[in-house]
Amino acid sequence: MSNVLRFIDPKILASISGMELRAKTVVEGFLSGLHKSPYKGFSVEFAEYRQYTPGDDPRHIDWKVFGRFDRYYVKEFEEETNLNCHIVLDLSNSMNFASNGMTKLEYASYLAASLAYLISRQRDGIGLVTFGDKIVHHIPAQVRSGHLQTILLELSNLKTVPRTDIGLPLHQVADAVNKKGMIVLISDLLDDPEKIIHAIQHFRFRGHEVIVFNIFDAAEITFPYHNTIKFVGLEGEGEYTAIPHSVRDEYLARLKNHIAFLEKGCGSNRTSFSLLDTSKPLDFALQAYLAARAGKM
Amino acid sequence: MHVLNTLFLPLLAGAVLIPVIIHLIWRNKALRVDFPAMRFLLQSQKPISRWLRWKQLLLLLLRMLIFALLALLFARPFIADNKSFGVWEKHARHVILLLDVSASMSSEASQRKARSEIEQILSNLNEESTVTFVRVGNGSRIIVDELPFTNGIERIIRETMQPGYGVADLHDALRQADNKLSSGDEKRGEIYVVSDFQSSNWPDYVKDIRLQSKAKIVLVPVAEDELENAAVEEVSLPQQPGDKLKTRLTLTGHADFKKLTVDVTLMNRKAASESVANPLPNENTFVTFENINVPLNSQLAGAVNLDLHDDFTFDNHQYFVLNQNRRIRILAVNGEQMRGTGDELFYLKSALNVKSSSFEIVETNPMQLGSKGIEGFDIILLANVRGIDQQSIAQIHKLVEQGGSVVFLLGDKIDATLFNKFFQELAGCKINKTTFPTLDNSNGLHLLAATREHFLVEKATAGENISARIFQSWQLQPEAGANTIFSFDNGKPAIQELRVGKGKSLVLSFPLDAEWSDFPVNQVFLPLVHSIMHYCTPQKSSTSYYLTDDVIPIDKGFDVNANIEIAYPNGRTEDTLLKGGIFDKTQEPGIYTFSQSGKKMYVAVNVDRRESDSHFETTENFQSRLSTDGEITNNSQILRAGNFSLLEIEQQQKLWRILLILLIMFILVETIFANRVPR
Repeated sequence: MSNVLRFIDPKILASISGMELRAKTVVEGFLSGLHKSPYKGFSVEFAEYRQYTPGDDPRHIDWKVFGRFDRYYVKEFEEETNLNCHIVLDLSNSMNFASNGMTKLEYASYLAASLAYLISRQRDGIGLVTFGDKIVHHIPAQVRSGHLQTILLELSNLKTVPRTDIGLPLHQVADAVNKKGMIVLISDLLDDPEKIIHAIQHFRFRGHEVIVFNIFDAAEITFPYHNTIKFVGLEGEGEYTAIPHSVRDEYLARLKNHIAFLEKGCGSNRTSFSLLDTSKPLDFALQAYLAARAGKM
Repeated sequence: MHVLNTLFLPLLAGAVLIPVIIHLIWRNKALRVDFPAMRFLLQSQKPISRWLRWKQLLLLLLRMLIFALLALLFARPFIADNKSFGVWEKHARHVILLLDVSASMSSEASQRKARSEIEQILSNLNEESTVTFVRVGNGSRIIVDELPFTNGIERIIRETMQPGYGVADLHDALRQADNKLSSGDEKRGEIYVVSDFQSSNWPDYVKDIRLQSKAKIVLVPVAEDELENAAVEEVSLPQQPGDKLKTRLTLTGHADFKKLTVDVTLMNRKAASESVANPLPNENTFVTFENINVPLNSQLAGAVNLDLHDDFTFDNHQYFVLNQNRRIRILAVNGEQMRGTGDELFYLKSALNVKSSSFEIVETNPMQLGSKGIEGFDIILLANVRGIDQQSIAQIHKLVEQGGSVVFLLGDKIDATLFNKFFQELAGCKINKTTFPTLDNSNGLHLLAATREHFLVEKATAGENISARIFQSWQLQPEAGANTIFSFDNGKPAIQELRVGKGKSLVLSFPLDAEWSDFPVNQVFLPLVHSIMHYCTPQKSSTSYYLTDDVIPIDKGFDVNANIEIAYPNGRTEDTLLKGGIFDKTQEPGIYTFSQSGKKMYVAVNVDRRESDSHFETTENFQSRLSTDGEITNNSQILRAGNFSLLEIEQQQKLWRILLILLIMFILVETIFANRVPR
């Protein structure tokens, strides 16, 4: 896989048909660029032999093969895991916003698909929870083959719901997932931040590792509007006509405070918090996941 | 404040509206954006929205002000105020006020406006001013003549402003006012014309009214814009028994009446009433009254009345006097008196003495004509008369000159030489011999209408050919001025007429007996004979009314050296001597009754129908007909500025400079304010 695809533009990604192909494109491109093998773990199930290359751990050299062929081969093993990862995806109507052609929900679904593909490839259990003001769909985490397709199919057919209440469904997820694992929350987190942090605390209390991807559209972050504009809330908040330059500073300050509060709340709960905007390649998100995954190991 | 370019005043109103229109057009065009992070915007909604509202309102006001100032700047304003420009007060002025008091000025709106304008004009006069106030009706009536302006004068003017019923001759009044001011008066002259400038008063021929003085002419139009009027335009009275009374109504201006009720009163009693539903505006509406019974030999006064309240009430009535049913007196001079059908007048008398006939025929012969006299007769009929005495010829001539008629029936007693000697001038033709077409053609000759538009042709034959056969006739040689009405089918004249003075002379080239024709037994005989007599009846009987301010001649039956009792339309009576036998106090429309020794005469007086005209001249049009070295304006407000040129005042004041500075300031404020945002 070429390096070129590593930082693939989400817009180009959107033009690829099929969620699986998209996920594969992202993940393979991402993995091929890593210098270090990601296949860590304590699995002992033999997979194949591979010629030794500098950087491989000498402990994995199969000396019996060396004795027979006078060449260095390293043993590769199928990784085994008992980690269950739940991707918790926000379907609220505010996710249905796009200033550059790709909605936050589309971006989030690609991210979720890529993560699911990556997790599945690592032989971890993968599950999916979608929610609005309550849980919309829950696919429990499994490792079996074909489960990935179920999740990808679900991700291909997402529809937003009118309202959101992030706190309540997250508490329900925390109660529903018994086995300790990893929770990947993908949302714009446009709700009361205290409730969100409280929900994260609930996950942490249940022993879950939590990764938060806070998705924004670039327009939300930069507020690039001019002239008089009638802003209409996507979740029935009403409308507000304003001259953008007169409210921009105040808006950005409130947004910054909101994000800062979330980031601080996540930090204090040892939760990974990543701010993404829909123009950014998905690799950043995957990297954040792997970093968090490594911490778990 | 006043302006030089009044054209810009409507523009001013329009300019003020421009920002409002732009505001309204663009107001709802704010770009709509569906936005997710509304929670961060809504937290500061209230203060920003309020600020925006105030800002937009203030900006709108500022922009309206800017546009208004711009339009005002182009209009070139100036202040005409006595206090500021007291120098003009010192100039003595002679103000001539011409007030149109024609009937059309009686509408409520015109009255109100005229009063208001005159009040305004008077309020600007001071004791230095000299005033002439003229009521302009059919003639100009000077009420105040060059008197210093005082409270008393003001009161007189206010009390004599009510309109009359005449037609205003402003043209003449303007000339008189001009003469007054151009006669060496050192004072500054101003002529105010307060009128509705009704178009009918200003015919096209009044094109160039050249004024000699350098007086300032101020035209003050007071016409009502949306006139709603219905008028009794014309009344057609019955001419003979069987005729119906018809009336023509007109609706003008914005008149839109659902129903018109028209009634006829005779001697103050309602005689008939008709209704017209949904009459068409700006169209004629004809109403015929079928059952008006008028006794013979009577004189009745009456009116056609429209029962409604419109802008012009004076034309809702048309007064008339119905005296057409008086008998038409005919003196028939019989040139061949015989018994039975051989008598020259046998068939004619039979035709005229039918039931309900209005004809009174008195027969005589040529020998007795001189002693009988022709006094009191309307028509002299010379039937187969060979000759009469010179005195009788002179009397007949006089009668015809005054409106009576003479009819010649030429038969076998006529001698061509004598006829040409005595009657050629009166008859308008010569005769030479008789023709005998029957010798060759037993069918005789037929009469053909020489013109289709003659009263006799229309009434008697209805345009059809006459089937009667004429076997013998005299050959007529019409003279200049004579007019052939009927001719034979061989082209020779059969019946001709000549207008003599106010009357007519008719010549029939054949007698109206059965000797030379079968005419008396033809179906057209009766209508033709009746039509001839009606046609020859003096026209004075058809004059049914006079106009206001007309002079009325009193009938000869009255003794003008004795008192005559006059009853006016308003009920007032007066017993007075009418010098010269004329009455001229006809200012009001209605029925005037003259009585003396049991004899009565009714006279109907109406308002000139030109006063119902709903078209008014614009002051610009009127202005274009005037040529003067002085100034003409249609703005009465400039009185205060005396006789100085408005341009001079404007240039002296230079108000535009202040306005320009204000304009620049407002533009600056607008620019700064428009770019200001709340922090």
